[in-house]
Amino acid sequence: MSDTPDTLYLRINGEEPLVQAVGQNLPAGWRVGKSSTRRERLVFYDTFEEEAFRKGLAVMRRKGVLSVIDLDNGALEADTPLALTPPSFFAADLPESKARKRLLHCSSLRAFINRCAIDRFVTSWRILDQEDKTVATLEYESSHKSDKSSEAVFPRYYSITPLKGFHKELSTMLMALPEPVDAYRVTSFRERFIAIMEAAALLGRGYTSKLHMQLDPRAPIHENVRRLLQFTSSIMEANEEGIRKDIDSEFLHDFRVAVRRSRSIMRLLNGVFEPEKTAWALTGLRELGKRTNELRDSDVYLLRRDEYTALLPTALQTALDPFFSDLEAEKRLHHKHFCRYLAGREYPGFIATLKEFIALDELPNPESAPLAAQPTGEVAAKAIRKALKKVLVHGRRTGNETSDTELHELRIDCKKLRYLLEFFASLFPPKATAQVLRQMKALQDNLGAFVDLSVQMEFLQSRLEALPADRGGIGEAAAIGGLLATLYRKREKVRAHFHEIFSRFDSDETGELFDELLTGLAEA
Amino acid sequence: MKTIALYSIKGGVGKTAAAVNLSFLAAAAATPTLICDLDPQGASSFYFRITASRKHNSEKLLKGNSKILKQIKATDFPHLDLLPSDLSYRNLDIELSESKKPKKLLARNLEGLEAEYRYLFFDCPPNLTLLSESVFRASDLILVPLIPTTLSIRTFTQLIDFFADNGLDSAKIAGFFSMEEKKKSMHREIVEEYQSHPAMLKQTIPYSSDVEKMGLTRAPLNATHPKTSAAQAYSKLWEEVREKMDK
Repeated sequence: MSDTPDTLYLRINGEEPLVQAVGQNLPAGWRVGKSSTRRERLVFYDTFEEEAFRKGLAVMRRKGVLSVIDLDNGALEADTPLALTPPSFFAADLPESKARKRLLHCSSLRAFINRCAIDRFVTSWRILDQEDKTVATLEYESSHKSDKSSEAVFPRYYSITPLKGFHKELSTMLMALPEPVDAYRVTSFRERFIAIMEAAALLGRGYTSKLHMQLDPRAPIHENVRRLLQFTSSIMEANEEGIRKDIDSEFLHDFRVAVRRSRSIMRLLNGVFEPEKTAWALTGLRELGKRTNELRDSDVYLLRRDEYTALLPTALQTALDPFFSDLEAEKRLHHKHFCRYLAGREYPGFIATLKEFIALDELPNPESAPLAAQPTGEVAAKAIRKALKKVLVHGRRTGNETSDTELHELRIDCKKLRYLLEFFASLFPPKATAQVLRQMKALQDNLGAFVDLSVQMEFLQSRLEALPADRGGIGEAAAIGGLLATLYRKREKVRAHFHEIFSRFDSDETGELFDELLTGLAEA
Repeated sequence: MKTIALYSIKGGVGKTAAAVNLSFLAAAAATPTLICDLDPQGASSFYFRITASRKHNSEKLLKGNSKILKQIKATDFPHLDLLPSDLSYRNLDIELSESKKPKKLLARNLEGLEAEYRYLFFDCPPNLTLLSESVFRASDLILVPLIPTTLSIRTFTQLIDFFADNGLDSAKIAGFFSMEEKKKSMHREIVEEYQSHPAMLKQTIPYSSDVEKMGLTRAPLNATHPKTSAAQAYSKLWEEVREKMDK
């Protein structure tokens, strides 16, 4: 339904037979020709997070062509053939084209999912001049959902498209149309797109895994932690289907972050609940996290395929094929296991109990949960100071050799501080939070890269050790050796930078930034 | 963009019919095509039921680009547009002769069409003038319809000589026999003798009343009666032309 720049779309209310009105207003000698009808199926795609829509694009398949359309003007930005109608696809899997580039720019990690399919019925008439030459086409379109599962009502439209070079002739006619009052009105592409999404009940879900909570600094912290847990548990649930269907790796990733965030906040603010009432939840969340580790690892290494291949000389590149095909097989296995777990008795039971617990709004006993009733602002300031102190103390204690364990632990300290900052972000002036997060970024990037590289090396090492000697694995061993050497060099470079980066973080400036952030809070 | 001129120094040889049908066939493969009616008689504009807007004239054509683009009109057939002719085109030669580089003017003026069209057809007026020379320079292929008569052959050889004498590439010329009547022995003999000439295409277009009726239907024969022998001949001719250009 991409628009030629000159199409005028009219949204109809009721049964206004616009074709008659048009017919009556034509210049002398002109007429409306015979009608023809056609049916076409439109399939709309977007990622789970609606990244195309957020970037102002509609992604639509029609007649074997996938089109990327600018929502603002309905103009076709790019298109590429798409023979079938897959339930989902990755931008990277499309043939090299401008469309592929545009969609990669929306998301390289997330799959584009078939969000809705509609069948559109179009009746079209030619508007002919005195020479019987077509000067424009007039079309009437009505749509319904392809699967007929819903009674969704889609708006109906008339559209008038002048042929190239016939705008002038047509403008007189358009001016002669009846007043639009309520019968019909001119509508834009964006409006028509949104009408389809609304009718298909796809709008307003607005999924985002990012935490944007508005907290009241004077409200008891108990209430706000419960709100956070409500958010994280809803994120977990929202991602279950995507994990089960194995649509893309971000579903599991978001699920895991939600699990970690829940657990981390519960532990960092451990006086908010009565310890004996949350012990099961903490254990449960830890177990849940663990159960996803292997599946996530397979995802991560499979995503690294291009990166690893590029690190190797051409002669060794194909030697990694068995490595990746084993990873794929392992992934299928881990996926099966985790899906079984999701569908089994334990997980739904755990989530149900967790939700019941979160729903309890009664303040716990102040003796065993001394923080519960305290104002959120105060608790936030204390918890953040404590977490920051931990980062600074551990960082300063890190010796010249900067051991693996030291960096691993420091990374976790940083993550905890970050979760707290994100949770309480709405309590601070937005600029100050952004500055603090920026200040932390270099340090987090350094530690993140270090741990990431270490984990990869460990994984590759274990693969190397398990390589059966009789499988002709020399090539693969050489490739893994090559990767290990490269990753090792990278990691040591990262390690060598740690002290420099940490001392930049451990500065008066950071101290002042945090002071500015937290003083305001305590006073609030 | 490939530019194909339908040219003949003589009138009534099936030049416009070929331009209309070949351009229709080119566009039918969803390739954006423009037919440029340079003949002040405006026969191809007539076949597509298009008249130039009142503001269009030869001056606009010679001013080039943006002025030309505004005058282009869509035909009733997908991917096929037309730049209509205007009676003022009869002055084109005088105007060309007054410009600084008349022979290259047309080529330069058409540069903007490159982005929009894969094929550009010229339906030329039947004469040999400055405009014709300008068209020869701007075209990748000059298609010359010939009625199989000795006089036609003579004119065709003269055209090839003219190219040689004026520093034009005669390899761009491709003749084809048009309005061929098998029952006439002269036609048969001439076609047989010249069909394998390097400057001639193999495919011939038969004489047909269906082609004449295009004046009534005012649409390409290949759109209204694709099964007729003449329409089939145009299809094969287009295949041959396309292959020749792809070489």
